[in-house]
Amino acid sequence: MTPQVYVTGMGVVSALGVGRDAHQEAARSGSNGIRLMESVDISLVDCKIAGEVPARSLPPFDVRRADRFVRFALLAAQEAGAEAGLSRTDFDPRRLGVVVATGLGGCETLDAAYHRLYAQNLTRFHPTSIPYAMYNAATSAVANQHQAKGPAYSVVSACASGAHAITQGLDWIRSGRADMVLAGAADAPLAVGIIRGWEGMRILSVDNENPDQACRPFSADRKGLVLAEGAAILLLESEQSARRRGAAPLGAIAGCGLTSDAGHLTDPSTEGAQAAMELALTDGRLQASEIDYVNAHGTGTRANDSTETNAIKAALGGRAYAIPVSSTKSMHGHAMGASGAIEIVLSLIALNAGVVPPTRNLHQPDPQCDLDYVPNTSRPSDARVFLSNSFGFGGLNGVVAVRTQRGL
Amino acid sequence: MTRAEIQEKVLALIHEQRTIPSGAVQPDTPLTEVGIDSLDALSVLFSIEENFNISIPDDKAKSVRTLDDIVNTIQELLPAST
Repeated sequence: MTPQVYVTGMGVVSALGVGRDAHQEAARSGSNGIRLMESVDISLVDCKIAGEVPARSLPPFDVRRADRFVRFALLAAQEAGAEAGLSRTDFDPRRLGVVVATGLGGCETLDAAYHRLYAQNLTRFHPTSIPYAMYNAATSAVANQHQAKGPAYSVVSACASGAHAITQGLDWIRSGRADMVLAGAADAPLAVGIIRGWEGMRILSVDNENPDQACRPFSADRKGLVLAEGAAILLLESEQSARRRGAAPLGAIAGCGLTSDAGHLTDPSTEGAQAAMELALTDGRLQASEIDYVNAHGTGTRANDSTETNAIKAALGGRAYAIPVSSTKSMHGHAMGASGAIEIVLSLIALNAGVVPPTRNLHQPDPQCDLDYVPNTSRPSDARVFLSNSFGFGGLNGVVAVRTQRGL
Repeated sequence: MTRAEIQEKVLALIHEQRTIPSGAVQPDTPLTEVGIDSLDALSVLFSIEENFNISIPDDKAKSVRTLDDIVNTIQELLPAST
């Protein structure tokens, strides 16, 4: 059997809070993280709600030291490294890689700089504007945090960024380029300029009066996506390294499937999504019958949810109707490039605890969405293998097949 | 503004940028010796430009090494009336 690539540590920051316990409890209770924004001047935007990381769950940060998306990445990586016992064991730092993806990079930094320039006519930029906003800032900060001196860079692929980073980490370990990789994603897009950009696309669910019901994936009355922020990082590790360090596996990345639609810039494609799921099965040497759960991309837009449903049915055949499929974006919103990583970590935490996370706000069945979406209430699970779907703007798709602890 | 006043204000801006023991920065101490790295130094110069409402040319910015260098530069650039 091909050696496994284990997950030996996980960290997560989202609208549901910071860390394992907050996310395990949220998955069980199906709680809501979408609220009126507090970190943004909501008088400047029409859409005033988001999956914002609660300020009370964050440690005091020196905001002069890094952009918000980097701060989230550092928090998540700290948790992942601690869980994997990195600081307690010896390893060759050149064999530890880092790949932290992002969809939009340092929005906080750039938004503030452009506000000075265009609104205040202040032409002088802070010298850290560029190094804080650059897309690899989180990768570099995490590498510094863990003194990781192996391969390190960032990947960028809109909402599929997290899935692609985890694929990159998997490939580095399989190819022998690294023994361990801190792989994941971070995004903090809740800046006025970015929110206005999304409003321009008219695909936000702007339900300012009822934020907890705004994100309704797979429901007939779904109105669109809800922007969010956060980060999740996994420590991926070769079997040999985990054994040598005595690190307990929490799961394994079984395989990944990557495709490009080579089509429309924003419209999703059934074929591209289906092919990515099929490739993830092939890469993981899995049969459709072995998949016990699908964590859907499930954005809550009209186009995604029906297209994705068709793709799941095409890829998994009859198995699609026999297993739970849910969208946790209904709870934490769409954290852009970070969403894939957040959803993989949230799913793995929940399934290892014996719980399938639900799809909140699913009250009106849509005939075009006819799978078991675990409406509103979590349920017990003994899942061994699951798929996590991520489909990004630009037609870039990433599907990750994950073994739970039970499935190792 | 007197030289002493300028120096006091600059010291405050340096301490705002990085936690340094009080008294560690003497007028002739190279800032690198107290842990002010290149990015910190740029950030301090940015704060100085904002606070003193001056613009420090690139060649001047590259040549400052010590607190004294910074204070001299500010004195050169501040309008004579102050």
